[in-house]
Amino acid sequence: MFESFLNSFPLLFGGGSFLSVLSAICIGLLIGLFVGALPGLTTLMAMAIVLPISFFMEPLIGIPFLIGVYKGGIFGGSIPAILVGLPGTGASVATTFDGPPLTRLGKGRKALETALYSSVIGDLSSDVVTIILIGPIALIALLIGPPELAAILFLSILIISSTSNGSVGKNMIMLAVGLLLALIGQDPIGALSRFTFDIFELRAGIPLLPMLIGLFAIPEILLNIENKSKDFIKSKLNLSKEEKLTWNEFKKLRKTIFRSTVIGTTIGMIPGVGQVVAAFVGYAAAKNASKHPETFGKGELEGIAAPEAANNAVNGPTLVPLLTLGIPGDNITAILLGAFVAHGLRPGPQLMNEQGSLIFAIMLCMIIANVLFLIIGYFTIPIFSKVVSIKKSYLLPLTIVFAFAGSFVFRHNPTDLYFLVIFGVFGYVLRKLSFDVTPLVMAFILAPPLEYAFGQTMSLGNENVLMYLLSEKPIATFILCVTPLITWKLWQRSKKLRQVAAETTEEIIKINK
Amino acid sequence: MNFSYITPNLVTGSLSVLLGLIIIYLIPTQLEQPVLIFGQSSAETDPELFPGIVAALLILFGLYTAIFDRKALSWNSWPQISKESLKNVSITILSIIVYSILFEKLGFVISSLFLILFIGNYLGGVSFNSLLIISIIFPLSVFSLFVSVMHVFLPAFPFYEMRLGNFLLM
Repeated sequence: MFESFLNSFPLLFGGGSFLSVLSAICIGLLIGLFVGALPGLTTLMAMAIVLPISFFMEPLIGIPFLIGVYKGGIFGGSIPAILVGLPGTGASVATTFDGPPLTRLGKGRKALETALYSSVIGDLSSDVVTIILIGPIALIALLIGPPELAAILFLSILIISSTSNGSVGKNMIMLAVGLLLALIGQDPIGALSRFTFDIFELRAGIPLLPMLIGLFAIPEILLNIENKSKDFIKSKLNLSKEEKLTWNEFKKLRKTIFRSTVIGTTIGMIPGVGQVVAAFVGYAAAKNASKHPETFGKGELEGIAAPEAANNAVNGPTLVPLLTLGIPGDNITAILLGAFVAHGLRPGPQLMNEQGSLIFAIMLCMIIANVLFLIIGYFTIPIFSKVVSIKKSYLLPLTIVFAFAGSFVFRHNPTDLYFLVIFGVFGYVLRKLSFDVTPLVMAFILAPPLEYAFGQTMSLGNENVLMYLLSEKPIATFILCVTPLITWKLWQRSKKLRQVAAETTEEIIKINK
Repeated sequence: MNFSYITPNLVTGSLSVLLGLIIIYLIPTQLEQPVLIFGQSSAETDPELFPGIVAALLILFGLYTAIFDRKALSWNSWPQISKESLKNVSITILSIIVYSILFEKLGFVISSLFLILFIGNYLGGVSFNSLLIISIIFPLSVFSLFVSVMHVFLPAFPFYEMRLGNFLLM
């Protein structure tokens, strides 16, 4: 594994493609910043739409491109959160507590720079932790066989469903619907066709990309179109005239940034919990630890640093279960999974063994992306602060066109456009009924490897699978036995964390009144 | 008559149960059976196993949601959507359905031009001339990006063999 890490350096820096990698990351960061800065559109949507573009690049260019979009988007969401109190992404909600008060005090530029530096430090630290952890975890993952993999996949799907937003019952229904959609087409073991209703287009199953774009991008567009106002929001700020963050002000934020980075890194390792929860927990922890908690919610720089460091520190560790076990922890990593698979890299226990150098090279690109993020973010803050005023009438139809183009080029099949529309409408209805589509997407992605691993287990067990598991696969048996307990505990924990988030929000609203 | 007990959770739970029952009904006819070799199935696992599990989960979770979660206060209210919003969304959905049908027939560029003009005008607040310019430039730019830079196919114009369409690909 260490050898793979060392070999990643010549792979990345030699070979003449380093400049292309840098360009791809920069373009991705700019796209992410642009979309993140728009309150009506999400990073997830941007990644879903540009995903097809990454397919036609080499893996070492395409995947860092998506990572750039991701990182840019998470920070980009804090721009409208700080300037006008509207979070550009879910992860920036906690930033709206102290951002607008700082802007009103003429410290908008300081707040944005605080957010930028905290984001970079949080993200960079967690990326280093990820690089250190991924090797040992990958070695452990190599030891697992089909029964253990089936047990882990089963546990993961349950964890993600129980820790997602919304009621448990609804999340479980989404899980079952995702499994159902994965049944359509051919079974992964014998390639026997299922539920195709003799429709030729369904024989290969439901395509992942139009489904992702349909579920994540189209509902956002439709939600924005509900209200025909021409602007997302109006903003007349001029940040170039405001004071920048001083070194002394930044030094005072060190402890907060460190604490939030640890919180975000830990939460990032738990599938399904995610950036929003990390941001709120980071904020609450900073407030509790502060000598002047009464200043939070009234324009406190720590109130910006804490959630931004925490939500960005989630980025790196979420890749650990993805790359080592093939289990995406959230929607963003589900899209990255799609990118890996399209490039012929199936995440899972064998990936680090077979393509370790490439994977480490991609992880090094994450560190490079942070450095570029710092430079680009610093110089483009005044520009992207104006993006919040862009007109919907231009942006929304262009987004639809790009989404359709991306869906079509994937297989050159016009049926994919119909899938896009169907899932788009379906996703919109689900959003209006407060369903979280995360369990559906996770179940859809993980069902084929789960079914395959389950089938292999059944054939290894011959006549008596139960005896086989009890006698020869104690780890798999253990995981299956503790699955209900772990799922219950994580559901309780996730519920508590969300309660903390809700209470913190209520408190801040009271303070601001 | 008071219909307040008909919550979204009750409805979705019931639909989930119904879907599970439909899957059970369809299993015998919609699953391809494995080839028999000397009277033995060639498949390692019964093809009906996973679909059966999924149907059972749909029924189980549907019953849980319909019975235990039906009165839940959070995430269980009917969405409030005004007539205006419904109209805006419906028109947009219809326009993208038409767009998906015309995408290959008229080509990416022309169908996208119509979509941008229609939706941009419908949302309003921008000048027609600027919208027209963007509706020409943007699809052509995207087309160039995909076809010339990334070398992937997008239907350019109707009747692909037209010389004008080929000219853009050179």
